[in-house]
Amino acid sequence: MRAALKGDQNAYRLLLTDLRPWLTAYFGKRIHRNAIEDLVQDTLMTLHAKRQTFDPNYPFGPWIAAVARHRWIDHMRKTLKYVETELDQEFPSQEHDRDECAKHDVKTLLKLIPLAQAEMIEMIKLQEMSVEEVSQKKGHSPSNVKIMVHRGMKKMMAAVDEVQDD
Amino acid sequence: MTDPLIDQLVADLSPRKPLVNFKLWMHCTACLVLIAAMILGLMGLRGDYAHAIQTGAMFWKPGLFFLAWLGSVMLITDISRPSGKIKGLHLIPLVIGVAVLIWQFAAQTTQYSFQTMVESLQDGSVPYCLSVILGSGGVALMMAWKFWFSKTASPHHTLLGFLAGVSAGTLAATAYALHCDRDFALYISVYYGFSILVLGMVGSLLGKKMLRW
Repeated sequence: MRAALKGDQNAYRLLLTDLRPWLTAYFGKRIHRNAIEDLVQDTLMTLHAKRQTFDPNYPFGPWIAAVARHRWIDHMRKTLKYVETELDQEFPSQEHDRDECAKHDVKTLLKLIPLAQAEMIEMIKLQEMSVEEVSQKKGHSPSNVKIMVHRGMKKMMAAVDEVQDD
Repeated sequence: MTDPLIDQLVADLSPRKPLVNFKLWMHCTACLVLIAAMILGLMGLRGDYAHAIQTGAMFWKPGLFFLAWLGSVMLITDISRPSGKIKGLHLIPLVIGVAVLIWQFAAQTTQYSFQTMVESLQDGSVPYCLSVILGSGGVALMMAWKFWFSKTASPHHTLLGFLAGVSAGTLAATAYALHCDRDFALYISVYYGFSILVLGMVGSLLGKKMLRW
C-alpha cells in the first residue's frame, strides 16, 4: 500500500489481487453469498477512493479491516431499511434475490435482540405473515405487534451501530 | 485471470499524499495566526489590556477557547480515518476549558450581582461579536474543509463535521477574545457559545451530507 500511494501500479495490482480472497472470506462469514461479490467490489472501490487515509506509519491490516467493516455496516443498514419498508409493500417484489439476501442477513441479526421481538420480526418480515395472523397466534393486540416489530427493528439498527463503535 | 475492476483501479492509480496530522496542525496554526493578525490589525488589541493583564482576563478568556480549539483538533485527528477512535486523553483540554468557564462564573457571582451579569447581555457590541466570530470562523471552516475534511474517511462523519465547526469557531473566538473587552462569563457563554454552536451545527449538517463514504 505504501508503494501504491507513490503510484506503483504493479504493487497496487498485487495488493488488490491478494485482498480479493480475503475480502470474500470476510464478507462470506457475515452476509448472504449472493451479496458478497457486490460488497467486495464496493470495498475495493472505497479503498481506491480513500487510500490517502492510510497512514504509512501504521500497519495496513487494521486499516483495511476498518474499511471492510464500514462497508458491511453500511450494507446492513440498507438491508434493515429495505426489510422495514420494501418488504411491507402489498405488490409482489420484483427483486427476489434481494429479498432473499435481506432475509438471510436479518436472520443473523435477530440473535442480537430480545426473543419476543425477534419472533415477531421473523413471522412478519421473513415468513411474511400478516399482523392479524401474528396477533392471533401470539395473543397480542395488532397495534402491540406493530410496536414490537418497530422496536425490534430499531434495536437491530442500534446493534449495527454498536458494532461500528466497538 | 484478469479482473476488470482491478484493471480499472490500477489504470486509475495516481500518486496521492497521505493525510498527515502534522499538516493539519500546521494548517490550523496558520489559520489562527492569520485570523488573529487580521482582527488585531483591523480592530486592535482590547483598549484596557493593561488592566486585563492584571485581572487575568487577557489570559483566561482567549485561553479557554484556545484549549477548546486544541481539544477539538486532537479529536479530529482521532476520527479522521476509517479505524479512528476517540482517545479519552484528548478530551482533557475541552474539560479544562469548561472548568475555566465555570470557575469564572463562580468568581464573578461573588463580585457582581446577577442583575449586572444579565444586563451585560444587552450590550451594543453583540452583533459585532457574533458577526466577527461567525464570519472568520466560517472562512476557517471552509479552508479546513477543502484542505482536510473532504479527504477524510471517518466512521463518525457527523461528529467529525461538528468538530470541524467547533474547531473553526473556537479558533475565531480565541483570536477575537484578544480584542473583545466584555469579560462576563455569562456574556461569553451566551454569545461566544452560540456562535461556536452555530458553526458546529453547520459542520455537522455538512458532515452528514458530504462526509459519507
